[in-house]
Amino acid sequence: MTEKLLEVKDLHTHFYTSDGEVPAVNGISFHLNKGETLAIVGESGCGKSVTSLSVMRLIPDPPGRIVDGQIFFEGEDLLKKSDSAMRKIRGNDISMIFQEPMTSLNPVFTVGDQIAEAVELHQGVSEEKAHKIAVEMLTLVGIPMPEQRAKEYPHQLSGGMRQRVMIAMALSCHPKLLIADEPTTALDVTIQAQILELMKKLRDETGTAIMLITHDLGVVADMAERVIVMYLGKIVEEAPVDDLFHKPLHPYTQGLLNSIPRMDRGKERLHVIEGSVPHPANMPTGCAFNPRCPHVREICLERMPELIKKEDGHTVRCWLYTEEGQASKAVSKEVSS
Amino acid sequence: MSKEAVNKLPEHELNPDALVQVKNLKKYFPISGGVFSRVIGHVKAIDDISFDIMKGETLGLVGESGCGKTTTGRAILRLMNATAGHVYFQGQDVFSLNKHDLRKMRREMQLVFQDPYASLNPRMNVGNIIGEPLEIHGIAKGAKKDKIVQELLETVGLSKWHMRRYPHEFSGGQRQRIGVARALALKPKLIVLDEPVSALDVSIQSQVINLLEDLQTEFDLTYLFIAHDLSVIKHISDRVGVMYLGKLVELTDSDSLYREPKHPYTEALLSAIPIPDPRIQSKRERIVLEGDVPSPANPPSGCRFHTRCKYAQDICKREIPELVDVGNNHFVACHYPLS
Amino acid sequence: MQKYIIRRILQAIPILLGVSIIIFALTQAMPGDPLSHMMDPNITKEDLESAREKLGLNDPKYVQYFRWLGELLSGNLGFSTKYSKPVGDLIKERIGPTFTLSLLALTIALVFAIPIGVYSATKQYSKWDNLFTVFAFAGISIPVFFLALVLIWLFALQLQWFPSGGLTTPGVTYEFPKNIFNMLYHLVLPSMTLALLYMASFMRYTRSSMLEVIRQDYIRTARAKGLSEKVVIYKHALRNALIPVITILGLSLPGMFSGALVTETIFSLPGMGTLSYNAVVQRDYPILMATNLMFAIWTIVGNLLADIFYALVDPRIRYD
Repeated sequence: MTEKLLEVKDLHTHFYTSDGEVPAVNGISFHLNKGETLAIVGESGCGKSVTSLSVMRLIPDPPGRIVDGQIFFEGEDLLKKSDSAMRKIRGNDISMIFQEPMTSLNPVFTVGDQIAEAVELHQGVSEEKAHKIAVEMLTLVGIPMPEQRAKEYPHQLSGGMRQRVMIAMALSCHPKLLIADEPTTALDVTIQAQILELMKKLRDETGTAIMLITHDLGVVADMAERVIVMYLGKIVEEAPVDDLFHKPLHPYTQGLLNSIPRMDRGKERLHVIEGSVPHPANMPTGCAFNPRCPHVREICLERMPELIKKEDGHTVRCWLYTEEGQASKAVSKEVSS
Repeated sequence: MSKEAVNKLPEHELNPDALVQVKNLKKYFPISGGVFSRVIGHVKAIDDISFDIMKGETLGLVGESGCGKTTTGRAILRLMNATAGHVYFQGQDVFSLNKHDLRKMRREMQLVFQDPYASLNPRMNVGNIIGEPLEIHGIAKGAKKDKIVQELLETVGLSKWHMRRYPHEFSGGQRQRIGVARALALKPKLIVLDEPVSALDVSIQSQVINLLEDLQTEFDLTYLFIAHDLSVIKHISDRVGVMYLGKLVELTDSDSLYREPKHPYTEALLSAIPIPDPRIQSKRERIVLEGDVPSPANPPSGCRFHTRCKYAQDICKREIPELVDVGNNHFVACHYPLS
Repeated sequence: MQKYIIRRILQAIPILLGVSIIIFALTQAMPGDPLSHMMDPNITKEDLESAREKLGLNDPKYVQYFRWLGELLSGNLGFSTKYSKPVGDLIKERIGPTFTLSLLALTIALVFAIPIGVYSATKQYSKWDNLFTVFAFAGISIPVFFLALVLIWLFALQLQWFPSGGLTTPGVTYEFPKNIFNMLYHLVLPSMTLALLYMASFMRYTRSSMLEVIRQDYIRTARAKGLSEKVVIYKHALRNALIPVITILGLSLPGMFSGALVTETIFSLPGMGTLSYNAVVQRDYPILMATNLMFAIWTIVGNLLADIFYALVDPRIRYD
């Protein structure tokens, strides 16, 4: 029996903008087991980053707020915790690395100081000891001359080095969960390869669970055990990684997989998902994907489907996999691009 | 025709199938310092590269940040002055053209930028953005211009009703279509596409790639496609050039490049890109390059890749390898090309 | 760093030469010459002419300029006919009060403006933020003289807490250190006037700079580490937010003198401001030229200081 580390139940995170109330995360539930790597994929605006920030309770308020739901971490609801209790978890039990290593480190403090700060705070060790741990962490993430580097400022390091520093910082207190929000998107491919290998190595050594937020399906295939696909604030499909790539069920997942150019394929014309993601403040009625879906039925225009369990661990939010949906009449329409 | 002689490429070097011939192109950016801000060094953004772009082909240029691919595109269009070398467009030396002739030649070569947000003037409506080059070059104005603009909008998959709208009213993918329409307005022969899809979401990326492919067939265009994403490059290009630290290290057709890379850097680059299929990806062996790309201000001696190359020998530290044809128009700059 | 400072000082030389030429030319362009103010109006034309000749006023302008410049470089700033004193001595007397006034005002302004600015930024659009915003705009738009008069009316005339002007209590001589306290006591109202003025703009700069910084990714990183809000704001954000404020501070240093001009005049303080003000009114050219040159030097020094401080707080700035 695998143990659940994180369980999110019916999470709603809304943003209050000049365009009105935007349900960036609109009722999502998922879990993450101890030591597991779960990928959350989707395009910009699907709510994947907001989900990760919600778990950290770092949604900037204003304009955002978690309006409903529960986030259980080791059985305790994080949303019920006091601010100071939450601070003891952040950077300690759950830590996070971000997309932009260039801007995610404070430019006016040395990297050693920035790593040691968290260690000192959470482990209650002396400043001296914390700096020693910082240097050890830099060694662990493969930074050459770690003692020297610890005394340097972020601008003296390359992008790849900075992301290593971020990882060192995130892992310095041995977290049970590491949230990685597009950790390699801003990096060059050969540096991305270094960081992915490093994350895999550290995951295997420490047993940290990873929640990987990305739009890159190649990175998902490389890292993840289980995958959640999000579209406009909702989960549309969830599956073990092999199933998702080989038996995708949701038309959106199928479309995504077919539309990416692949190095191991020829020059045949790319499949296209017509149209673009609607603005979340201006959501279509029924299934949110219906304006772009090639298999629309009448029911899709009326009601949002529920998540349907197809196989063990494989769920999909689509009418096509229900009797009701099968019975509904197909809509022929001109899809505008 | 101007009185100044425009340098032409000597007959014996002229490749009749090539639209653009780049010869020994260099671009150095000065670094200044010291009490009197003297020039104390150079960033060698492009250091002596030569290649041809064939009529009607898509030549992909790929490499990591700082490799000089963007600078190469700008230098070819003479948007910046090269330090040395020549670019011949249909046999004519672009760098020796005077202002008037350069303007005429600019009609033949257009640029599409990476950032569809930053490259469109937010205060101009789409009709004026696309129509501006028509007016500047005295091709059309007024109602005639509007008609051309409407046609262009429809060509790139937008509606003619979009003419009076402003850039902020469009999504990223639509803005990139506007950028493409502007480039098409003057009926160019060559379009330099600088990371045209890297700012776009996956589902939009494929729409724009397909559009570019359609337009190429329809208007008989030649593309120089600059990108860091090898999967996109491999898909769209006929031939691909790989750059590293200001040097062209490999140049061949895109299938050969993927199937049998000859340069160790290309090999590592290809292996670094995860393939979106867990069954294939779990079996691939990844070559992880050590360290970072060295600074182009102080590039390594000899072969610039030798500091990170696992096959490097003594000669690699001393001698710069030439880009040579190792058979079937497969060019590689390596002392020990892979087989 | 040293190299950079040397370079900046070398660069200042041509600028100062240019300024000196402009000052000289402007003074020359003014009607009349020093003699017309010095002489008995009944003097004969011949005597006047010979006096002009003797003083070198008939020499070509560039000769006069270089003579003036030469004297300047040897430390002779000229002689004020109005005060019958060398200009150098006058400036020596006057610079102390002005400096003290400016420094006091600046310190008061910063001590209040920075915490208020930080508070306003972290509680954007709150009741207090709105109140401070109103206060800041009032401070920016109220003229110095008006503010000074209001303060005099309130604190000197109505409440009688502070003197309404002067630098010392007339008719009393104090021993050290009492004389210092007496001077500071006299400077309370003038420095408050200046401070209120600067506080307003420093507050706004701190607020907007802080607002920008707290949106940065590294602030999110700091929060993700589990740091308390206090540490996030006062350690991670403030140091970054102060960087642009320092630039503004350096640039407003010379402005403090012109602000002091009005303030000193209203509070009748014997400072650089009143000295140059009177010099303008009385066409005391030697003083005018010297004070203008001092302002120019002070401007350059202010900029240089700002750049040096800049490098001290921001490790990304390296001068070489």
